[in-house]
Amino acid sequence: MKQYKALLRKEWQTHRITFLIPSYVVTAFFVFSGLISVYGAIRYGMPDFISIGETSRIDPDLVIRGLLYSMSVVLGWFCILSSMQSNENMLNGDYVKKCEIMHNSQPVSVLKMMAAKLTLSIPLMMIQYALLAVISGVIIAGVLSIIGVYSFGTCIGAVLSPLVMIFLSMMSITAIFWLFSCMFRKQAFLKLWISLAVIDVFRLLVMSVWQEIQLFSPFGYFFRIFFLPFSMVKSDIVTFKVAWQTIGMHENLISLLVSVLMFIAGYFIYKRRELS
Amino acid sequence: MTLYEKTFESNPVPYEIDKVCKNYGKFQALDDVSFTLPWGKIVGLLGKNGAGKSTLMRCMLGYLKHEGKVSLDGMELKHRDHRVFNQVAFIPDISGLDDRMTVKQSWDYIKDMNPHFNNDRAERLLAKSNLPMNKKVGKLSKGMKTKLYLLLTLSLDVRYLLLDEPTLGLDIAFRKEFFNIILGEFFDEQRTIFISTHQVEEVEDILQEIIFIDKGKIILNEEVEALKQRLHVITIPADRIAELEAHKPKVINSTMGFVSAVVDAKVEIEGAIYNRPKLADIFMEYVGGNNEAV
Repeated sequence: MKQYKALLRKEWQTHRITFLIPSYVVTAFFVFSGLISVYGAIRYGMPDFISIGETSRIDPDLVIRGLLYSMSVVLGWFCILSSMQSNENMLNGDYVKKCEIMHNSQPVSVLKMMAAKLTLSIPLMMIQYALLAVISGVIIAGVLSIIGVYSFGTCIGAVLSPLVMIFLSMMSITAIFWLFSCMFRKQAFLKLWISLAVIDVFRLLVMSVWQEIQLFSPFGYFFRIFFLPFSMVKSDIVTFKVAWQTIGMHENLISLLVSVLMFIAGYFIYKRRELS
Repeated sequence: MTLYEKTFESNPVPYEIDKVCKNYGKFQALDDVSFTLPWGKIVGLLGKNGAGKSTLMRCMLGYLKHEGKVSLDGMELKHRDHRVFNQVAFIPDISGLDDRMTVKQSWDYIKDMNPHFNNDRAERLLAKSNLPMNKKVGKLSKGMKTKLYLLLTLSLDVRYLLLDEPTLGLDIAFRKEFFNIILGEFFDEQRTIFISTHQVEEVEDILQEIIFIDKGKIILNEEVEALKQRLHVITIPADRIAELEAHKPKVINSTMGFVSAVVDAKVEIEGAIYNRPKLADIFMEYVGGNNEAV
């Protein structure tokens, strides 16, 4: 446990900037919005919020839910992007910085080293996402209460509803990047896109020659899992409970299984690396 | 009886390299390398650039896949086998430290990662050093980086210290300090230092055994004292070079009207000057060629 904590601390010390990108984005968003609001209030005076709340013909609950859900999904995407980049940095950063010998000269297994990297990439990233979503929900609920819309529960519910979908999406996308980062020491990100493109072009060629054949599209899979959180918008009422139920869907379970297999495959590929 | 002594009794050949081969494509970096690293000795590894010194050390540590067997205390080590670091510490030819961490972070990292970290010794070594604890490693000079790596490594209670050109690119004062610290803090009759270096003259007096490696093959593995007694340097006037050539030395050096060569200690030439050979001279006699790479 002591070793695991030390590994986790090392990953945090060396990769916290990439890891915290979503927090920087959210902070910048609220600071910028706050400054604009203060500037507007000073320049043009306080708007008549109460009358807006009273005269609006649209169901505020629906608007708030939709807007906050979308905002939460965008925040989730930042977390996924940050997780992807952290993955590549953590798996290959020691090589790039020419210090992998030091890190690999300790009596600690490769499995433990990779577990620490993965902990930062997914569970801790998810915690960051949930915290940012809740903080954003609380801030927005507070602002809304100024205009007479008291909807704390709706706000928190809306920002947390995509949590499960973001988790699925993050697991699936991070797993792909994990695998490629384990395979390639340099430019794994670029090589992933090239590989996906090459496979897809090949797939289209085969399908154009043998039209009866339907082949799996890696690009299609990638985009499906990336946009997974937005698939929930089709539902009339997106609640946390509804979102949770979707995890048991056949397609999502397969995605989870594929992701786990990719993590395992990545481990074995990474372990076979030679250090020079 | 100490733990080392107990282990020694149960396994007197603790670090064994047996028929190790390593290929990089068609290039054979190591060719059937076999030797055992004895207890309580300082062993030097000498070879030209590209002879296979670093590759050998990396195979011994499990960094590289290879053919043949490397075993420690009778336990066969596999590729990326972390168990080796329970008994072995390594300092590579490059700084190798993580530039992104501060000195303190690096110190705490090794302390928590390595169960063999000796806190008392570490504190003592740290107190003697003037390392800036809050400075990023990347901002340290090359000498300071090497010193930090050395102090971290010497804080580990391990039996083997593998050094791969550890003082490369450092000034002479620091190189002297480096070896003094190692001898003072690490070496005893139960611990072994295996060192590859180009600056052979700096370690010449401390080496007890020497291994010459050339083109991936071990060409000599012998006690330094025995080797120096077996050979000597003969110097004669340049006009008598034929007498020296008769003994077929691989290298004959010419200096200010005299020629000299390393030959068998039994060889005697009338009127010649005899000297104890230096390791660099012996190496050249075995390997041939110029001595720039030694």
